[in-house]
Amino acid sequence: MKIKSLSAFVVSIFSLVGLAGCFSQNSGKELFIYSTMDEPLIQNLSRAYAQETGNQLRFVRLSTGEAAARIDAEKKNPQASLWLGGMALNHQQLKERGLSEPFQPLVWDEIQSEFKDQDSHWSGLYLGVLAFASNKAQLERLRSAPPNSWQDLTHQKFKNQIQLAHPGTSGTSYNILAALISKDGESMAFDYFKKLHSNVSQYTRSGSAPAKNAAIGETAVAIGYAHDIARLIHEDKAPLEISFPKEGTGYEIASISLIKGGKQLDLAKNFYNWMYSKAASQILADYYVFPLIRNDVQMKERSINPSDLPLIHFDIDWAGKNRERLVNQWNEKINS
Amino acid sequence: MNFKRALFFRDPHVSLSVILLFALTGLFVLYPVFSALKLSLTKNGVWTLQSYLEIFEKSWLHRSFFNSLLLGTLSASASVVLGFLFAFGITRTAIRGKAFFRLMATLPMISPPFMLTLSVILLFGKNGFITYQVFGLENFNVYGLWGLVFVQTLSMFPIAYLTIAGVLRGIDSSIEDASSDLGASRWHVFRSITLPLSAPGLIAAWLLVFVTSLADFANPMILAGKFDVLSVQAYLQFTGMGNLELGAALSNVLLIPCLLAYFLQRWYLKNKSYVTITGKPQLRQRDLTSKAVRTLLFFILLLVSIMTCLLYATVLAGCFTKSWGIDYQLSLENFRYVFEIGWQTIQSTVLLASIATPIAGILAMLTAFLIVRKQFWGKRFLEASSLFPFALPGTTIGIGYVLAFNDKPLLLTGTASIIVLAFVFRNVPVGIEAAKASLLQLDKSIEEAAQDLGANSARCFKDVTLPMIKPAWFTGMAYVFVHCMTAVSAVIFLISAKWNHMTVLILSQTEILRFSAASVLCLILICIVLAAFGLIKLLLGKNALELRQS
Repeated sequence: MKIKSLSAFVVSIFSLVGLAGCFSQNSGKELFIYSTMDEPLIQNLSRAYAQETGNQLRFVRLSTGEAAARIDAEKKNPQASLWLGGMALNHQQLKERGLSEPFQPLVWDEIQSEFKDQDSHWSGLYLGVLAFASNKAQLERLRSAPPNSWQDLTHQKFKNQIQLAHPGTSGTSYNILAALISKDGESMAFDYFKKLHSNVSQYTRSGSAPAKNAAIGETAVAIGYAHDIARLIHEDKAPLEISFPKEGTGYEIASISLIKGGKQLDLAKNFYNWMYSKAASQILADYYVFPLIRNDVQMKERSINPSDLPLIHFDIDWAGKNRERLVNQWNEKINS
Repeated sequence: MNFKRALFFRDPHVSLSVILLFALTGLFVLYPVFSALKLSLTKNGVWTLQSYLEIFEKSWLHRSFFNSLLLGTLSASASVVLGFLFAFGITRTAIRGKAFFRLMATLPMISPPFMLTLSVILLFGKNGFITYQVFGLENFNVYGLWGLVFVQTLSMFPIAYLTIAGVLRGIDSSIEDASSDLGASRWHVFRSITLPLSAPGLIAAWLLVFVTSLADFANPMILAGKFDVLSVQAYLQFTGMGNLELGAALSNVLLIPCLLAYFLQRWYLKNKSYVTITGKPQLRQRDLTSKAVRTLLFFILLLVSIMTCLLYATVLAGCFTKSWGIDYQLSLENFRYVFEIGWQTIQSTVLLASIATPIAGILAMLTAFLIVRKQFWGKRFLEASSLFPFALPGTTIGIGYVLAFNDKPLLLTGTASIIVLAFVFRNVPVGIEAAKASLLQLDKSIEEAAQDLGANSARCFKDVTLPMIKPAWFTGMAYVFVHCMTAVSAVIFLISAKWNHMTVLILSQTEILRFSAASVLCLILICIVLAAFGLIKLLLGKNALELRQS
């Protein structure tokens, strides 16, 4: 009698938990992915993808470091089949740890070789270039012109007025670190970050947060991606001014890769190809992004074309392999 | 051996339940903690203290430890002061507006974790509505230690209030009367009798808030500025850097002050507790305050309450504002946006919480019943280990679960089960405390009578004990549900593409500065919690939800 009720109790616990596990697995084709793109952008993509193919995209928005860590943690039981967005160097790291699956999308040959992995583990979707976003009202208050060099940011007048993301979590911010190191060498770059530190009010978790903070006036100057800033200015009518460091600026190759052992790889491949379709490219373009595969999409007026800017190139392999060491060093030197 | 076997068979129901509870507690409480501990003590499979040495060698790491302690100390002290003022005002004086103040002192308990931080940035940020738009303050910096103390105090003083109010209500006024009759002034009575008698409550409250503040992850994540704290640093290392060893080590370091505070608090309550719920009619309580003191108290409470209201109103206003900080036009756009991005998440959050709540409730009741009523081997150990998660910071639980259930045979990462299990075992202590309190008030003789009449212990539990402790149990469940809905620090490690949680969504919306969307999510969360409370009230009648704090 008692044993019966006890076992009923145990069974009910596990069936409830099991029920939760099955819930929503049977509602048609749903593709589970991790996305490092901006939430509204991935939302637009997902809507268009659903309209065109009938498949639903389910995603969690994670910053680059978080996505990489999660894919690593789940390697024995991957919960997502594809990682969309995030920097090439992190996709490269994924490949090196044996966590991604090679795949060549239909447009493979059209992608420039420096923007894709030679072993087909990842390929680039667009380039994001780093830029400065300054809040107009705050600049006026500080009686300053928008900064137009990396050195400008270390000026006394910007004390506690600058935001960037934490290089540990944000690809954007690690990008800044890697770009400046390959430009100036490690010791000069770290000296620079040390100086910059006293002007920084907060290191955010996600790379797109600082520009938005500048948009609402929570910070005077932010470092972020040009397309984010351009969109904030032209679409959201944010009182921002965009400027670029004249010494040259870093850039990311926002990339895509398949997660090894993913349970929906076929569906994921379908989506992978779709990301290079005209429809998807147009959605990127509407978000002020310059897609690598253009497909004659209609670019937004005043979009910023990365090829018009002086870019700092760095070796993705080197940047990927040295990430842990450099970020730890950053923590130690800057954050103490 | 024979003796033990005899014990086992004398009451197999009890023995089996005990074995079951031991197994579950071992697997879902101790094993994850052990996993985190083990990982932090190894590097590439070799036993080493390296991660811990690193924490104490590197200033940027151990500074976050001291920052956490500092923040905890300040927030706990401020919360206890506020909590005492509220508790004293409400229980011991003839102050006006008691019902309102009581509401204001408990409301923050059910608010989503980022909500107050969010409103504080909207109101007091660099471009904040009050600091910049109204007062034109430039360079007012709310990010950092003081902003955090402010937010934590406002959101955590309810814990102190509930604890202290319980103690103050239990103080028998006859001692105060006696002292007063012997000619002591009111201030003298207060200082030499009321205050010392409430000391255990104050200390317990202080420790509870201290632990909560140390484990707090949501507020520092957004409001800390450059002020590093341990919980955030553990998250950054674990999730951002993929440095699992260091992340685990940091969260274990967090464990030390938490456990210390927790055991100190339990020890204190055990030795000093004199609060007895006798069932006698409520004693008349002496009002120790003069009119002037009452007025002063009234205004202090009013000020705090206005602040709380203001913060809530800000969230409400945020819901209907097009884009806070840029465009203050009225708009319903945010609701559409939230339902588009968040509908699935809202569903899964409610589902997960609703599954976890009854399971936690049943386990808690069973545990409490066994602990209070039965004698068995390892009883104290069972009690300690099932109450253990209460002292664990969420980050430790989150990290422990990821590590422990990342491999066969218990491959749970990314599933709903891992979230449900974390919810269940994290919240069992809340349920145990609720059930235990009401069990202790029941005289054992009623159950003995049933047993004498031939009921076995299962029958007796089902037909006698259960109906009597049902109200308290449901109340406990209501709070478990709230905790599941507002959890963040553990759940952020456990969510997946399939199973997201509203609080994580609020965090990401806050971080990308979609304050309006985050506000809408907060509002929805509050509505869900209130609806659940309403449902329970409906089921149990009016006085079921008197707040009970374990």
